[in-house]
Amino acid sequence: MTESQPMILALSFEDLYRSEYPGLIAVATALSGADGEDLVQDAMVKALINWERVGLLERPGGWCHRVLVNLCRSRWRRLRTHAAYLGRLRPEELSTPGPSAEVLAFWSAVRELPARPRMAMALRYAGDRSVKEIASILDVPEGTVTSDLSRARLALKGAWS
Amino acid sequence: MVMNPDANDDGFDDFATAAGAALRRPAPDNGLAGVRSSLKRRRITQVAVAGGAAVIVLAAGALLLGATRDNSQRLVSVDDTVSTSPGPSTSTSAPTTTAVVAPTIELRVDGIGPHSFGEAQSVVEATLTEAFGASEVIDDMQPAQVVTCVRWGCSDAMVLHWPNTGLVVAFSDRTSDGDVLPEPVLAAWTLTPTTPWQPGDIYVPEPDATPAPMPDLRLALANGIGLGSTVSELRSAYPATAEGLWSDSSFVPTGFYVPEADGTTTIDGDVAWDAVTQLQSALVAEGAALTVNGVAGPDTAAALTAYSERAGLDGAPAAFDALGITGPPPEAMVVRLSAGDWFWELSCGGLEPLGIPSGC
Repeated sequence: MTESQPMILALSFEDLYRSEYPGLIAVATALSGADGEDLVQDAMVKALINWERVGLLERPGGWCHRVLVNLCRSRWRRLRTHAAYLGRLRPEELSTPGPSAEVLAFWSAVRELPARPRMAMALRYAGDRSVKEIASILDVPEGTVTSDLSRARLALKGAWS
Repeated sequence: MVMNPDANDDGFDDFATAAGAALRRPAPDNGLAGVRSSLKRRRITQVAVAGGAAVIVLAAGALLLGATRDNSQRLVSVDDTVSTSPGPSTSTSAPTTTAVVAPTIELRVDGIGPHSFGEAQSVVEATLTEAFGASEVIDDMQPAQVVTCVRWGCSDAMVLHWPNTGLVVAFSDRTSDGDVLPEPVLAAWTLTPTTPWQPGDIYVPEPDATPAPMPDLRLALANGIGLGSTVSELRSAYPATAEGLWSDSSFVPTGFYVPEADGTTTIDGDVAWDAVTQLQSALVAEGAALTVNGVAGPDTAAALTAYSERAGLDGAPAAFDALGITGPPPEAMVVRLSAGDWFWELSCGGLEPLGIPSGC
C-alpha cells in the first residue's frame, strides 16, 4: 500500500459523507421520527470501518442506505425507551428550521404503515431513491416496491380523506 | 403545501416529494469529525478491553495457585448444607463427590450483583470478571450483527459477553442527556444460552428450543426466575407479565415483558414457543391449503392475509387474536431474560415474511 492511498480513501469518504448525508438524514428522520442523526452517524461509522470494501462499490451510497434501513428496521422500541429518547431531544441543535407540522404529520402517518411499505416510502420520497434502488436496498423485487408504494399511497390518502 | 393531497397520484407524489425534501439538510460542519471521533473511541475502548483481557489471561496462571482457596469460597458441597464459609478447616474428610457452583452474582431488575445501572464499567466489569473470568467483546461493527444501542446512544455502547454464563452486559458512555461520560456505565444485561450471541438466534422462534444448561453458574433473579423457568412460573412470580402483544402495537409472539404500575418495563425476554406452527395450524383449521412446517414463508403470509381480508380484520395482531393465538403455553420456557435500558437491535427475520409488524 502506498502512502497516498489512505488520503485518497479519506477524501472519498468525505465526499460520500457530504453527498449522501442529506438523503440519509431524511430517510432516518422519516423512519425514526426523532433520532435520525444518531442513526446516520452509526451508518457512516460502519461505512468508515468498512471503507476499503465500501469505497470500491459501484454505489456506496446505496450501501449506506441499506445499512441505515437495517438500523431503522432492527430497532425495537419500547414505550419507555422511546419516551426517554424523545425526552432528550434538543431542538436547538437543528441548524435549519425544522419541518412543518404538515410534514411531520405526513411522516408520522407513514410510520404507521407496515414495515416494508414504510421503508419504501421513506426511501422513495425522503431518500429520493428510484424503485430499482429501493428494491436493491430492501432486497425485494421491483414489483414488490411498486406494489408497496401503491398500497402506501392508498392507505395515506384514506387516512387523510 | 396542502395537507390533504389531491386525489390523483400526481398530487400525492408532489406532496410526498416535498415532504421528503423538507427532511433533508446538508451534512453538519462537524459531522465528519464526529464520525471519526466515534470510530476512534470505539477502537480505543476495544483495544483497552483486549489488553485487559490479556492481562487477565496472564494473571490467571498466578491465580491458579490460589485455586483451592477460591474454590472453597465458591463451591458448595451438596452434602454440606451447614456452612459454606471458607474459613480455616481442620476437617480431615474430603468434600463429597459432586460440587455445585453457588450463584455468586444475582441478577436484579435494576442492576446485577452489587451494582446498579449507572455504575462505572470498570467497577462492574471487575466484579463480573472476578466471578466469571475474562469477557469477550461482542463485535457490533458489522451490519449483520447486533448493534449495541442502549438508550443513551448507539455508537458509544459496548457489549461484553461472559462465556459459559450466558451473561451479556451493555455499558454506555453517555448520560440520558446524551453527554459523554468520562467512563462507560452499566446500562443493561441479558441472559441467553445462545453463544455466539446473535439477535436472530434469540428472536426467531424455534419449535424445540430448550435452553442449554449453563455449564457452571446458574444466574437468576432473587425469586428464582431465570433461563428455563416456565411461563407458568413467570406468571406466578410476576402476575402482571404480558406476553406476545406489546403495548406499542408491535407484535412479538415469542416475547414477554413485566410492566410496572407506571407502565415501564422491569424485565423482558423471550420464551420458546412455536408461534408459526400454531399459526399455520389455525389457518389450516380455517380452510387454508397450507403445509404446517413451522417455517414462516410466503404461503403462510398469503394464507394469513387471505384470512385477515376474509374476516375483515385489520392487521396481523387482530388476526392472531381471532385465530386464538394469544400467547405461549404455560409450559413454555424462558430462553432470554433482560433488564435495563437496552435499545434493542434485533433481526426482524422471525415473522417479518408474514408482514407482521414487529416493532422494527
